[in-house]
Amino acid sequence: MSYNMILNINGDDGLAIKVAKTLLDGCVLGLLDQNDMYGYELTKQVQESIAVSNSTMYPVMRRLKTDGLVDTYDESFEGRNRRYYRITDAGVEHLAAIRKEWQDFKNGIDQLVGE
Amino acid sequence: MQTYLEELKVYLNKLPQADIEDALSYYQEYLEDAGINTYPACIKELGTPVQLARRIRADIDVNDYKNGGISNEQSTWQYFSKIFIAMASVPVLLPLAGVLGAVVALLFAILVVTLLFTSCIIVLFIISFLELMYWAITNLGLYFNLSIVAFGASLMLLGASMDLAYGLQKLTVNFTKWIRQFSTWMYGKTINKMNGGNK
Repeated sequence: MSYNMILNINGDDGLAIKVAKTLLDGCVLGLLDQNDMYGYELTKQVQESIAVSNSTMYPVMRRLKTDGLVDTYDESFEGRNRRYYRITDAGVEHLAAIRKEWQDFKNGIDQLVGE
Repeated sequence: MQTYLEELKVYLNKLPQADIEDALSYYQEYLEDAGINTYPACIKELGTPVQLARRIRADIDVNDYKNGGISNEQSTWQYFSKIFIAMASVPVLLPLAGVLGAVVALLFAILVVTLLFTSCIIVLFIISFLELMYWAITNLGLYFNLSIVAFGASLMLLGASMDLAYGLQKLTVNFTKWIRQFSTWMYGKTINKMNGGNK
C-alpha cells in the first residue's frame, strides 16, 4: 500500500486530513460492492462518511476503471444518459486486500497513538 | 453550465481525445444530476475549470507513468519537463519549480561525472587486461610462474571491468527512475498547495 499523500480533504471543522489513494479506492469499492452507482450519487455517498472535495472522485473512478477493478454501463434517465459504475471480480478481491491492509494499519496507529 | 464545460474542454486539450471525452461526460452528468446550471454554481461545486483540469491532468500523468508507461530515458525527460513547465507556469509555484530544476540538474551533473570517471577506469582495466594477457602468453616459456600470475591478474581486471560496467548500467536505469519519482513527489506537493485554496 502506498501511503502517498497526494489527495487533500477539507473538513468543515478545521483538521485537514490526508487520505491515501488506496484507502479512497477501498471506500469506492466498498460502496460499489453493495450497489452500482453513478458518479454524482457515489460522490455524495462517500461524503456521508468522509469529507472529500467534489472533484476528488473522478480521478479515482478513472483509475479503478483502468485497473479493471470497476466497469461502467450506460442507462438512459429522463431522456439523457447516465453512466453507472459496477465492481468487477478483480475489484471484489482488491477490496478484501485493502480491508486487511487497513485493519493492520489501523491497529498499528491505534497502538502508537493510544485509544 | 455549458460555458463551464467548454472551458474545461479547452484546458484539457493536451490530453488524448478519449480521456477528454471521458472526463467531460463524467462532469456533464455530474452537474446535471446535481441540478447545477449557472457558471458561478459550477465553480462553487467543482472549482474553476483551470483548477479542475489541473487535477484531472495531474492524476492522469502520475498514474499512466506509474503503471509502467514507456520507461526509457527520453520519456523521463519529457515527463520531467512537462511537470517543470506546469509548475513554472504558475507564478506562486515558481520557487518550487526552481527547486525541482536545480535538484535534477545537480543529480544529472553527478551522474555524468560518475559515468565519465567509471568509463575511464573500465577502459584502463581492459587495456591492462589485454597487455597482461599478451605478456603472459608470450612469456610462458621464459617466465612460467610469472606468466601464471599475470594471467590471473589479467582475468581479475577483466572481471572487475565487467562488474563496473554492469554497475554503471544499473545506475543509469535507476537514475531515470529517481528523476521521475522526485518530479512526481514535487508535483504532488504543488497539487496540495493548489488544493489548499480549493474548498
